[in-house]
Amino acid sequence: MNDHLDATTISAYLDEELQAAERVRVEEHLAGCARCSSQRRSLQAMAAAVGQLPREEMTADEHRALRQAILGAPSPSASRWSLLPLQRWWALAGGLGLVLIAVVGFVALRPPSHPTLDQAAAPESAPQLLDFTSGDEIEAAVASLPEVSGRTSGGSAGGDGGDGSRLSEGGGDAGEAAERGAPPPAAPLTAQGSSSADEGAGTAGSAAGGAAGGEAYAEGPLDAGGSTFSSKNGAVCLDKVREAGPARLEPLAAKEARFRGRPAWLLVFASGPEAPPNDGQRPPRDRLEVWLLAPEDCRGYSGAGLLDRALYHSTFDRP
Amino acid sequence: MRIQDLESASDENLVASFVRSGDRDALEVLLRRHESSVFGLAYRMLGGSRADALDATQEVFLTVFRKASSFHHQSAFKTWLYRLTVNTCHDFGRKRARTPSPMADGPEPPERPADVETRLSVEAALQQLLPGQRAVVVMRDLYGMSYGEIAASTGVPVGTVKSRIARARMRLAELLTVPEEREP
Repeated sequence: MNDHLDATTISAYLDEELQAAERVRVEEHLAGCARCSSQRRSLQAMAAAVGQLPREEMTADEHRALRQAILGAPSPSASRWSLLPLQRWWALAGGLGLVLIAVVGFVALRPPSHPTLDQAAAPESAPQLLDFTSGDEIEAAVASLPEVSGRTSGGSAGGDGGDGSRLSEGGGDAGEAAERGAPPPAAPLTAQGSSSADEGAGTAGSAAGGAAGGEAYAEGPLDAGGSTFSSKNGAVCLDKVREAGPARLEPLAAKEARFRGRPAWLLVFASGPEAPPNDGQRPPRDRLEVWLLAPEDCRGYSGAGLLDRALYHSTFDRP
Repeated sequence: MRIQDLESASDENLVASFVRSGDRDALEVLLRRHESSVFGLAYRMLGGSRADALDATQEVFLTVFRKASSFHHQSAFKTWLYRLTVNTCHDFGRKRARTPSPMADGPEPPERPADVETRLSVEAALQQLLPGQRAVVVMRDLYGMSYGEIAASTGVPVGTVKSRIARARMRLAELLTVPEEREP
């Protein structure tokens, strides 16, 4: 018998991965070929040797640490920049605790000079940014913004389903304060705390005129901001996500923020069912969709590639 | 979905629940279901290092949660999860220029003394396989995955899986002295 079986065939035979006809052929061959039978035993022994290895299990402590790292801290999108090896997690946490104590002590001894989120008042050249560490914080911040939670009764721009409110810009500080006194904005405002209420109103008007929203937004009067965060960049990022998004998204705002210390666009959209084309009415926008994207990703990616790089993404009912 | 529903829900429905409503409980169920197998696979692929396997497991699940919205059910969740595990372990292998030191950083679980010598040899031999070979042979022989499942999880054709498994076993046979063959 000259045509010996190759190892791949014997191996697949052992794994019962051959078709019936080939399996019969292999069995017949093995029955009469000492060489192939020997190879079969060898391959079978290797499979058994690997199969005898234990399936390594995590200890109870490791389970807890993993759960804490995944579920306890940064929520759904914890991130490619924040991956901390579990073995070093607690050591780092301890170090950060010391730093935090020092910083808190320092800040406590200084007279207040920077606006807090609650205090946000006048535009600052270096606006205080929302610095998120978890998805819960993001959703709470978005939901608590007056433009989301309190403006619907003040007049919905589109007359749609109670979704005319818009987020203001500026990471909840200057822009947010300015927006409180502005007419209900109907267009997304862009980043940077220095953006003014005037700018917001102008953008609002442009989007209010076009109920569908997106295009008007893209062409709205946008402020020039910093190098990382600029209104133009925020608008571009919003539009990219809107175009690539899994459902029809209506841009609300691009807010300058940080996620665990890293600059990130907080992009907020209203979402809901698709609108019938050209009927002049917007369907209800009763959901909020929030994305966090690194500015450099917004510049360098688009489409699904951009969405895949999202630092955070969630959808939740509009408050 | 409430807890009882979550426990009985499919992996795919849990992912959908999370994507739809940010349901953290769904994430927790997914984690509980699959963390051991991800860790076990990573442990074998990363040279028997508990620290590396834990880091890889953490990264795999963070990636799962970050990319949950991009999981479109073209494959089973478990397949997607294993694929992330394989890719993550390959990345770890590339990034960490380290010499594998099997069992160097963790206590040994209880075992039968007669198995010790063989097992250590098998583990050492596994680490000498090419990463692609090691992954498929561990998936097949330790986790009982079919060739089709392995192909989907590694992103290579079934035929490639078949040949890699065979080559891995032949290489192991070269590296190992199997007790039954040691005796005439």
